[in-house]
Amino acid sequence: MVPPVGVGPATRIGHHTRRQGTLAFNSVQYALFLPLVVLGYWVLRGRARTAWLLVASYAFYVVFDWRFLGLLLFTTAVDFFVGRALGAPGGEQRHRRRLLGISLAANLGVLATFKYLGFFVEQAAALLDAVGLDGGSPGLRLLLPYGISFYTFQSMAYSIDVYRRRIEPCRDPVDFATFVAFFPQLVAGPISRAGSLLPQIQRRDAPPPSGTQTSSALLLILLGVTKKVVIADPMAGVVDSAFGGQPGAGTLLTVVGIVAFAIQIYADFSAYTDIARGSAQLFGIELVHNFTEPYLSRSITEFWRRWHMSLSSWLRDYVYVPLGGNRVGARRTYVNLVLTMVLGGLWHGAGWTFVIWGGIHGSLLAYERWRGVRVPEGEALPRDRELLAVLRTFALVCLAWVFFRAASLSQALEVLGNLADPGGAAPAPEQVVRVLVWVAGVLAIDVARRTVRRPMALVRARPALVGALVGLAVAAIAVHTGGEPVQFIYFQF
Amino acid sequence: MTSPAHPETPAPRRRTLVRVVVVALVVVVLAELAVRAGADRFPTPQTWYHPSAQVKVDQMQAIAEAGERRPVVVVGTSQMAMGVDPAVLSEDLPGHPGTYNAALLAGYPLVTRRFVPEEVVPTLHPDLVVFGVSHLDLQEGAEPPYDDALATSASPWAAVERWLSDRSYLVRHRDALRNPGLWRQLLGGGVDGLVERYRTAAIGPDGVWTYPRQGSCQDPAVDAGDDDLAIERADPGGDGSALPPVDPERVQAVWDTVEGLEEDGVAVAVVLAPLPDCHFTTAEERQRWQEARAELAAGTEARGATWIDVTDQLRDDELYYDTGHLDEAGSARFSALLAAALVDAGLVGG
Repeated sequence: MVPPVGVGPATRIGHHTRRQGTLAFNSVQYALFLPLVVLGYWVLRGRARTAWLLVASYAFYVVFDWRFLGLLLFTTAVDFFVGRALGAPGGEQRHRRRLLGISLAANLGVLATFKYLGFFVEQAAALLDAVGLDGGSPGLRLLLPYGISFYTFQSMAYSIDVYRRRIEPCRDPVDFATFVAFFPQLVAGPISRAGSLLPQIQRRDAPPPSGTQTSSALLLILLGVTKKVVIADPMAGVVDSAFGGQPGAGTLLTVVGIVAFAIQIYADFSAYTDIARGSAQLFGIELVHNFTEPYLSRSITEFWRRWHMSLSSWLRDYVYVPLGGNRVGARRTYVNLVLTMVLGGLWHGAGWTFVIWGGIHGSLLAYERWRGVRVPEGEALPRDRELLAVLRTFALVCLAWVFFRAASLSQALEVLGNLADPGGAAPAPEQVVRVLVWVAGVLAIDVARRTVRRPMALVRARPALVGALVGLAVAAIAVHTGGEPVQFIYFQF
Repeated sequence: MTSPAHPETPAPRRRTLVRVVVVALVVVVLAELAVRAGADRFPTPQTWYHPSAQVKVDQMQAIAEAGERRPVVVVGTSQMAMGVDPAVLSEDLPGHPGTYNAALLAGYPLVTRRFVPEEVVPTLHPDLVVFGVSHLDLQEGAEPPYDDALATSASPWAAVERWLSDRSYLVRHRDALRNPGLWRQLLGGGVDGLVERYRTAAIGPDGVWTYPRQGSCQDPAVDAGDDDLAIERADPGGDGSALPPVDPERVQAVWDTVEGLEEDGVAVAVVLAPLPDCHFTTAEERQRWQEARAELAAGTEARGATWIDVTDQLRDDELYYDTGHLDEAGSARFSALLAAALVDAGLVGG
């Protein structure tokens, strides 16, 4: 029986997942933390600088969840010592292989335990139930440590690169620990390679960034915050209504919800990357690009050269190529593509929906390879006659997003079923307006990014325009903030 | 804005960067001025956990600012908000003391514990607080987001937001600005928000409930006119099988409220909020009600406060418009009975 209390609709809590007490990039705490760390970094000199960055990075992680700092230290220690041993002169190949095995076992073991064990126990129990044996009730649910998928891949790749003699092993534990734990990219990437990041961390007496570099970094951070707060977060309600939030959703509501999710996840994740890269630049460190306008892609092959590039290149170098890549005949190449993408799907989480998401992308990549689809060189905007290909690619990516976003396989199938129900519930007009406005917004940002590769040149040429855009971004952030910050989607991976 | 300055890109001069900052500031100021120019078109932002609280706090502050006070104040949940007509209560009390109904929708004891000492006592300076409680208020259930609301949150970030909200219309009206469903109305004649609608249609002078109460215990009708003002109704067909457990924290909140008032020198009458016979669909709930009644009576008397129970005279289903709230006739009767009980207890006019 409902007690007669009279709480009206105005008091209902929204769907957003909110966390308190973290140093998330979209929190006020981070706005205070970052300048403090940057200031300390440039005041200090030599090795103390790196040590300061390491302490700040561990503090950053501890604020997220202190319980898993030990795991981060374990991964760091294993790969540091494996790297040192691999770099020792005169090592036999068999010994080196064994050392690499230790690193892989440690990193993959940590991942398997914390990310996949519960899933596999559940599947085993279901399998036993299916053949008439009592599988028991699997109750294994381990907490997923923040950033585990990112830092284990980064740390593991270091050992592989040292094993392959592509880089020299790092001799300084502080430098190496900072490479693994560097806070701007610790929790959600981009996954950096040691060959690129470590030398930047080891550069002891680099001068502070110039005014131009600082301005550029601040612009990048502002762009990231704007995308997160103004575009990604308001999408959550529309997305939720298509994914189980509104029973009997019809075709239009489902389409709007799926497109909203495509925008939300792009704005959210690329915002994180922008803030990470901008923050790193304030330390004079350049992180890799993670997104280069993926929704302007003319094919799935091109999409994967533009979407989550630090992961896709990681999968290419450490999974696809070792599997034989495209050097083993056409049929094996297709299998390798599908297998690599399925693993990429599983990297996101232990669930059949991620496996299918990866499988769809892998199959589409294999299909395009079979068709001989080529990715155009250069960074020109798609031409008019390519717009259909861009739309087709976007539609396919959206279709795959259904599996990525759905809480379960049955929900994914239900959402796909709703696509074929024109008589179902329709979206509210404001939901359609919101999605259309933000699609246009994201498109405008991407076209501008593709067109203006050097933002500081634009600042020089059109200061009034840049100033107006900055002012609009600040006003929009003021309007869209309030309350606890909404968690970044990729924190859950 | 993707990459840092390319080594080949000549650095912008300091004057250029200053120009960017100045233009950005001008744009922000223009946006602020635009919102200020159309401020009367925006709905009053809801800063309290519930619009009824916001409207009543405004009324109480207006009373205080006018140099007035209300010697008798009613507090509690929606049962008391709709159940007591302050004008009838005042009329029936000797000397017709000023009376205010400060009971809130979803005003559970957890809310009352803060709302009464922080808002009611400092503004109305009552001599007597009539605190209505029922067994429903002591059970586990959704907690009103009182502590999370902008006006009442104790977090330092809420303090920063309140500071910004007081100074910037962009921040103050952001709920409306970020809702595309309202944009057309904002550009047109403006938007009437929930707070305005509670102010004009649901809560009258001295906190009296004015929204039409149609329906009956067996057949709670949808409220006329404004669905947003419709309260969540008790379910007449419910079997009561899922009776929530008693929450000790809520019971303690009742006593914290009573003791706090007594420490402030305010007399307290704890009143058992009335319910119709039709509310009780199971023996288990009837039992729960009786246990709560006994516990409340004993606790009240142990604290030297006055216990009032006139519920036996208010069991008739006809006096209610759903399974928990009195209608206009029921409210008039409860108010009269309450006045008589307060006089009998010597709390007023003695």
